[in-house]
Amino acid sequence: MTAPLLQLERVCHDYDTESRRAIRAVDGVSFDIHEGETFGLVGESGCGKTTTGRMIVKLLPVTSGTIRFDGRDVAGLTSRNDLMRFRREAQIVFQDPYASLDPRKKVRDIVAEGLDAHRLTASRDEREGLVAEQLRSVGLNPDFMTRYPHEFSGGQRQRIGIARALAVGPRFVVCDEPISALDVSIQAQIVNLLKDLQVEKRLTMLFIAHDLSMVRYVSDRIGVMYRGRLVEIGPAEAVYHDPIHPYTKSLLSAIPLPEPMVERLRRRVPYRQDDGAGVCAMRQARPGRFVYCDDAGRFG
Amino acid sequence: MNERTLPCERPDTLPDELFRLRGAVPADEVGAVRASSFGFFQDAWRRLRRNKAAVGSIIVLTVVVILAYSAPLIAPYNPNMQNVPYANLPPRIPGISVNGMNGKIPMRGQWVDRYALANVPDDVHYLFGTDEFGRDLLSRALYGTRISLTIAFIAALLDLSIGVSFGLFSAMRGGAVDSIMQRLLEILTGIPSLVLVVLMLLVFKPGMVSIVLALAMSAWAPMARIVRAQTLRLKRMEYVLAARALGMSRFRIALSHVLPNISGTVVVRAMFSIPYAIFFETFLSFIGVGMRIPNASIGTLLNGGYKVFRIYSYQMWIPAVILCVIMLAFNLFADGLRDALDPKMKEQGDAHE
Repeated sequence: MTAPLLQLERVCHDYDTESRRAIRAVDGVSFDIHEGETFGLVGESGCGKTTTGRMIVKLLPVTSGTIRFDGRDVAGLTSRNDLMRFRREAQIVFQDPYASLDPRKKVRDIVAEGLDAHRLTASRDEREGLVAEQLRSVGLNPDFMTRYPHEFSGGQRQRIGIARALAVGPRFVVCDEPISALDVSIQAQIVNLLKDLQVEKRLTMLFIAHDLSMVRYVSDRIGVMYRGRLVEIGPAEAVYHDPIHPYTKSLLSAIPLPEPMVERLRRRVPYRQDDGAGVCAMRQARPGRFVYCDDAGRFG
Repeated sequence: MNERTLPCERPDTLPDELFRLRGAVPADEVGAVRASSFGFFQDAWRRLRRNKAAVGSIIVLTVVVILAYSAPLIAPYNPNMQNVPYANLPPRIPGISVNGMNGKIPMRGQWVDRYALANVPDDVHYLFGTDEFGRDLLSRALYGTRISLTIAFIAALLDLSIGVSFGLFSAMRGGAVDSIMQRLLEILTGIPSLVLVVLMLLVFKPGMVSIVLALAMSAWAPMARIVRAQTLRLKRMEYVLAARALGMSRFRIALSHVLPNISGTVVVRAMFSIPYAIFFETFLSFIGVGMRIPNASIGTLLNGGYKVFRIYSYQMWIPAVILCVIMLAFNLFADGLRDALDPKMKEQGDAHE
């Protein structure tokens, strides 16, 4: 088996490191993402999903642990050349389509931002052509180039954000809750677009969301996060249909179902940490399935 | 039968220009706004035009600026030339015979024609009168306004150059650099500018140089603070993060993302610093550490005028009115500009009231 494209090893991130009230947002997270795979990261808000995603694309420093991208430690990319290459290979799509586009820039300049930063185009016409191509590939009319972001709907803006990230031709994209701020009907469109683009451009993706049901459709494997820790990793369908960790069960029980009869029978499973659990770590529960628990199988 | 045919009765003839078959156009195109794009500044300009006070101020300011800067061309007399026989002549405007504007002045309860007393020829008119040395006040007012406006524009320029770059740099670097720069700013603003100007008199001659240097020392501090605060806010925005993830340098992010997005605040702040600088200059000149007599500025005119206010009140009224009009116009214009550039700021302001 080939080495994974992305490897996280006991990655931690503390906010406010200088002050005494440092907050450990991500606490010893380890997982691998293989080339061409989509890894879904789910969990409630504040559990450290976004922080993890931002650390991977080097928007936040890693407090401890290592992130390896293509075999190289991301924190060690200090020379300009290495860093710029990494910036082309790993991209991020943001959550809020209203905050992620500069309101003072035309769509053309937003999408061409990466092209400009890496000086990928020689002439205006070439730049224009590449932008048009990017817009077409995310399902937008190239004529929209001369418009400002406020003239677009949430879904369209998210498409522009995706076009901007993909313009530099990345191998790996972090999708940081790209659908959370959208209507359900639009969510499906964006998810399908991402799936199509992944096949077309052979992307590897980290798909972050708080909604397990949507993540299941895009992801090959799912990691469930809780309070800065990964509590369960496994193939998407297996985690969805047969959760092992009680937190995953609780998370699944929170998904509303569009079927009144079933919905009436749905019961929330509240999650309580087992205080009696010993030293916990990720342990293989079944082939390919890892759960955070202690030796005796108690979940902490 | 009714002549008017309701649209619903003729379902077979839908007007083609209003309806298109589903699928004929890509779904995203349908949702897009069809109106032509308004740029940010076009939008602001439309809002500004609707603000009557601001439009009035723009007109007043344009007139004042043109008059002040064409002073060498239009001033009827040399502003510094003394003509003692014609001292303290009140305004005489040809064609107007209202007391106070026809060369007469109340003395011991009677209106006396000063021009006749001084044997001024009939065809010589001083529209704003003359001062105690017989210098033409109109010419002096024009030159004085020019000086005051020049200092004001220099102050705005300092705001826009030093203030903006200091604030941007401080916020974009962050960390220790930011802390040190902020402490430095606090020290600079801690020095009272009046003391500074008085100390500068030891080195420089009183005049433009010392006033401008005093302004350059710390007048841009509020601008630097505002720019820093706004930059810190924008630094966390996702589009700035996106630019970083795309490999843009901090310098380019500051210029292409941060600066355009705070331009409204910056312009407004610069406009508000103009009346402050005018007042600062006037104040310094008034107490005698600014512009030096005989050079005219609004402050020196006021200084000359207040001494004879009881007798020749026009010598004080005229510069005072000019100062008020300029200050008011700049403030109203800056207000209008703020509302135009940042409509949200106005809504918040109203909510507080």
